[in-house]
Amino acid sequence: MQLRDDIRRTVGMLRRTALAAFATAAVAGACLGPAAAQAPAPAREARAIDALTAMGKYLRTLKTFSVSAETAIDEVLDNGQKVQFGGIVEYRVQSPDRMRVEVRTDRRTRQFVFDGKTITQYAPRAGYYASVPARGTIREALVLVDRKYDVEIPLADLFFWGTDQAGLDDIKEAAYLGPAKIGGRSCDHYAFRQEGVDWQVWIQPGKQPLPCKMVITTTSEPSQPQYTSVLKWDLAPKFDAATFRFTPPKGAHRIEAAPLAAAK
Amino acid sequence: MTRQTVLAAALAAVLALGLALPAADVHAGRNVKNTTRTSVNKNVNVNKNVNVNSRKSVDIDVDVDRDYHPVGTALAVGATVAVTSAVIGSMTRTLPPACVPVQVGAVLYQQCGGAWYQPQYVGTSVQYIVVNPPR
Repeated sequence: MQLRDDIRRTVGMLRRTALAAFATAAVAGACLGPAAAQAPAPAREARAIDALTAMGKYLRTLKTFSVSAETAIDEVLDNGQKVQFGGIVEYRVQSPDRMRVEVRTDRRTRQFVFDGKTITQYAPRAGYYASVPARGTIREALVLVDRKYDVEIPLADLFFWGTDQAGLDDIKEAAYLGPAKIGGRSCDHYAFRQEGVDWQVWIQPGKQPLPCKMVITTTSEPSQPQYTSVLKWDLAPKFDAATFRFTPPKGAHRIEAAPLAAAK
Repeated sequence: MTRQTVLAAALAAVLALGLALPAADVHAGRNVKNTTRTSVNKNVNVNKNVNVNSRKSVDIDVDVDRDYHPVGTALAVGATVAVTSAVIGSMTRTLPPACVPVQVGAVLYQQCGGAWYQPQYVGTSVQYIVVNPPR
């Protein structure tokens, strides 16, 4: 009995060693063989750019949707330490000019409401809101508040893709990395590089090429902080008349939004 | 000099230092640089975004997190003293304790002892400007 066990163990060990050796040889073969003869992949893989274009085109066809994202943002403290805050971002959208966004992190809650004429920022815990005129599309409103008031609403890309401001020309490197699972969904993984930022997007394959996940790495910062969001889409949401109207809650106070010095 | 005198002098120096520093600096270790991008296409605004370093720092617990303010109690003494020396036009991200919101015309102020603060949004942060008493 004892002897037989020893033999079994030895055989098992030999089999594992043989398998490992075979695997090593296969990997080495793959590296030295056909791959070595291949030309290097182009910096901008057409497949990745095409996927981005298709996603943008599809996003622009959506008239009404809501998207909820679980987010993680790295922040760099004054002492250089990088820390991470979790949060959520919820967009409720009716194209072209109605939007309500809720941005919550562990430290901060903000609401943004755009009704086609005015965009309002509201801090529920502080009880302060500021409204500024903003006519036009959601994209134009996002550009306005960013440029004039230094208000960056997360995931604004969702409204730039599929337009002439998608920034495709800024992309220096683009690659398809393969299939992936995001919360049980099958999505395709792409990676892009451009000035100051490396970013990744996972896109749902098929007729509804929606982004499943995004990771944005700020490479212009030495500690390269990241913003990660995992998105869940609802293409048939129910909105009511109040969804896109900001009604100051009881006790809320209106304050001014300071324009950026350069934008004054 | 007795030991007590030295201690008193040291305490006075510390208090004086506290007066000289704007309130926000007390939070220095927990300020964030706010440079993490949350969208790729930010740089459509070429004029502004090329210079990432120009972006101001943002205190991470600015949002009147009344339920979460670990250094609040430690600050209380210095902050109360600082009220009397609030410089008109200076900005702070935190108010001294025991302020009362006062609406004067269309403008909301926070009155904190003899000092008046006007809240405003700078980006997505609420900041308070020290103003002359409105009445």
